[in-house]
Amino acid sequence: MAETDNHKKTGDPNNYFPVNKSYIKRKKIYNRIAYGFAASAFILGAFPVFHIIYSALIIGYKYLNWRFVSTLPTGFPIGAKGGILNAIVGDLYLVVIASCLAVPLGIGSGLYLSLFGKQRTNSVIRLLNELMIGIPSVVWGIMGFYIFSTNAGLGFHFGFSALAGGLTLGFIMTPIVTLLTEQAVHRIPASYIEGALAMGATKWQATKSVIVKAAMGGIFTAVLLGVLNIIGQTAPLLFTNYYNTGLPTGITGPGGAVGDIAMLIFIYIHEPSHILHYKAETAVVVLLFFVFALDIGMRLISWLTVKIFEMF
Amino acid sequence: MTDINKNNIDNITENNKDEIKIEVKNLNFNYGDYHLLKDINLFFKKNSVCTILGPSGCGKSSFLRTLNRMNDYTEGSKLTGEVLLDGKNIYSKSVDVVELRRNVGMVFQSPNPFPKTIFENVAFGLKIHGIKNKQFIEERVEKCLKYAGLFDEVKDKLHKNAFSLSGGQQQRLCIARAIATNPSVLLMDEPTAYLDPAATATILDLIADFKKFYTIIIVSHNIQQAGRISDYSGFFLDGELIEFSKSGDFFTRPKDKRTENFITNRF
Amino acid sequence: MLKLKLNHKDDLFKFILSIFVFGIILIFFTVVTVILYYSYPAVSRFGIAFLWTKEWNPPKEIFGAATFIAGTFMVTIIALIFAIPLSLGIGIFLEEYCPKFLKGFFTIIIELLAGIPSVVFGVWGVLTIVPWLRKYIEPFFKSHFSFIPFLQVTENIGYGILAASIVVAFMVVPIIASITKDSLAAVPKITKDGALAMGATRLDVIKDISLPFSYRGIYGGIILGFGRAVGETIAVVLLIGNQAIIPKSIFGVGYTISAVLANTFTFAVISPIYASSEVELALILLLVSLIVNIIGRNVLQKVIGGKLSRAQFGGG
Repeated sequence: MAETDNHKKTGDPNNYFPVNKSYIKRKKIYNRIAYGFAASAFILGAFPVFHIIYSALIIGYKYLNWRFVSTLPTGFPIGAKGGILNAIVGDLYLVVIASCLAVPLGIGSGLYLSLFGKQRTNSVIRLLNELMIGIPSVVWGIMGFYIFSTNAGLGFHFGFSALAGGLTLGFIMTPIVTLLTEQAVHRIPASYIEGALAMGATKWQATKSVIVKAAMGGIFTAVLLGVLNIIGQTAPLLFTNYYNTGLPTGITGPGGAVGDIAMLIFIYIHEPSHILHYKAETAVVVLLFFVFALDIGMRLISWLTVKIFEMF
Repeated sequence: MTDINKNNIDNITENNKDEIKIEVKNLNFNYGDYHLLKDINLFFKKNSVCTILGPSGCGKSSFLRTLNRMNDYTEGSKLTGEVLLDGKNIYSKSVDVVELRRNVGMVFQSPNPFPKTIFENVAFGLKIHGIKNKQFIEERVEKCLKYAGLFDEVKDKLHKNAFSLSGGQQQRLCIARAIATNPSVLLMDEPTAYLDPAATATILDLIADFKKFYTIIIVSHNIQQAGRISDYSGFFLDGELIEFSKSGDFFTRPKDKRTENFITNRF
Repeated sequence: MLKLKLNHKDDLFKFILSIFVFGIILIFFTVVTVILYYSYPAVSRFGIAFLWTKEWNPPKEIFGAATFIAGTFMVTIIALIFAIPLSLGIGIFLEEYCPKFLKGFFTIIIELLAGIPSVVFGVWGVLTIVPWLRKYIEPFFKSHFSFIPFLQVTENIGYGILAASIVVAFMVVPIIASITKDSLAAVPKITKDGALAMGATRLDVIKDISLPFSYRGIYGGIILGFGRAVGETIAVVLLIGNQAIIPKSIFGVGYTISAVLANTFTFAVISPIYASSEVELALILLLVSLIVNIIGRNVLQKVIGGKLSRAQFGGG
């Protein structure tokens, strides 16, 4: 840039500003490079999502049919023929048992935290919940073994069973439901609750009439995210339920163990058999279907809740 | 050129067009389906102070942001027309946005110091424009802080965090920061909106003082302030420039009924 | 304990809800108590030397965790070496560079990564990462870089520390990336605008404004990512090779604490001291996870408040 031009473009003639054109050119290039790095990081991070789905589908599409999800595994090694009905039924057992524990416990505690808790108690309970979310699942499994499964010493002596596995998963699910329920109630505009309380309603009435309705979407999301988390769990089941190639005859003791899709995959992939590896990949398709369906359902619900709020 | 601009209030002709700093021609700005700025035409003369008035949501802040292309970051927006700075369209492809923004400084509504020391805040503009000479930077920082009337207050704590200053001091720091790169235009978006009366008075004095170096464009909702400090005043309503004239005329003999209503506080 | 006043509906309601809260507290103390109680025999027998004893010999009843601690540490550190730059890049991309209309969709993709179950990552590792390492990476390193310590390839099998680390890295990426993104989003827009209006590029804004503003949050994310990587079990069991040796190279096989628990705990329960030693391994995991999460939570509280990222809830 010509010297005279520069003079015209600056305000204070005593404050000459040396424009460094080459530096600016360089820094724009650096900015482009940074953009490139950030975008490639994203592509690399997103790659496994697509590659995992792709590599499961490319094998899974050959084996995935109605029979696969509606028949029990047979053949030798077991699973070489037949489907994964045992695991689907088993997951249903586990999710129902875990939810029986985690849904009331989580929603109740979440409501307590958002309605009654004092600052101090709340922060302690929230801390405990967040710490529990961080505890490795294999540690939960060991706890589950000693509390529910073991047949010696203290504990409930349920054996390797759906009840032991489901309750252990329920322990994992509870803090998730609690924290998300609390957040859901927090998201309700304060005027809603205060409006009800100002009219002389007790917190119980306010909960019944306002909060449950307004936070329903959020609480549902909390439960779905909890279920999403536990249907992928394998490690806690290793010591509390393990696996059953057939259907359970009860929920405790011998015959009480159930199959589980994640566990089935884990076991099949260990076997030195190609057919079982293919079946494992097919089961991955089924598991991912459930996981993504829950994920999308969850997003849909919270999106709809926001939309409904906007309408009023 | 003179024919196009209906707001040619200073009888600018081919002969004295050097007096113009910024000319806005047929400026339209759309955001989605929303027509934010509607066919704006006006001049800003060199070394003048101009206040843009209008109720909130009238597009005056958006207008200010079109003058240094900060609207580039508003996705889904579309701009037509021209903004000529020293006769060159800032929206033409050859314009270097980095250099443009060095030349057109901006001060924001609420003080927005960077999470750095006071010294680094003022030196920031120099640093990002590639100046590494330490002595030059130190001299310039001191000078700008003096211009902004802040040096005496902060000279002992130049290396303390900028957030330790009061609101008024922070805003003056932001002004010092904006003039460090020696721009020729200063855009101010309601610079006193969050300040107390004393701090406001200090800033207004600064603005009057700065006129000799910079062309200053202020967005404001405060009519009294505008009358006190500005040479020109414009009134925006619903994205339209209703009136633009010398402040004397603007406040005493408004041509448009709506302007009159606004300055007599009927909005 | 609780003062009962049942003459008011709210008191009853509060009482019922507080039973649920008591349940939560009970769960927390159950897991801590069980692990402490059943690890006590091993803790009292081996003392602190448990941590640096290398031998793990069930028949001789000699138990030391050093081998597994080393394996866990290696997998965690290498995973973080991959995951940190990747996550920072993703967080920065989503918050600073990504066009707005794609941001929501792209964020969902990263969150989907967080929802993929551990065992699915394990299968992907076995069928994709392991063959890739065996066919391309290990031969390449064997012929070109075998003189560098920690990078020697002895058995060209694909399984090992590196395979486990790569997969664990992808599992912690969503946590660190989404916390990075949330921390960057907490930087006031007006401050960023201030820098842009002076002629800063996006990179200047990131370097000089956004990162100095949000680095604490990013530390917090890394700490939580560390916690997740340390406890990761199922994917690691499938990939690490499961041999109780301290690896001398990142291509070597090894064993982590979580993997040894997954593989041997059910056999260990026949011998009290063996079982107790395994529970002591779990105690190490538990303590690390508690400490790491307390620190990470405190750091994050200051930056993004109590906001919990979707990625933290993981997928098993």
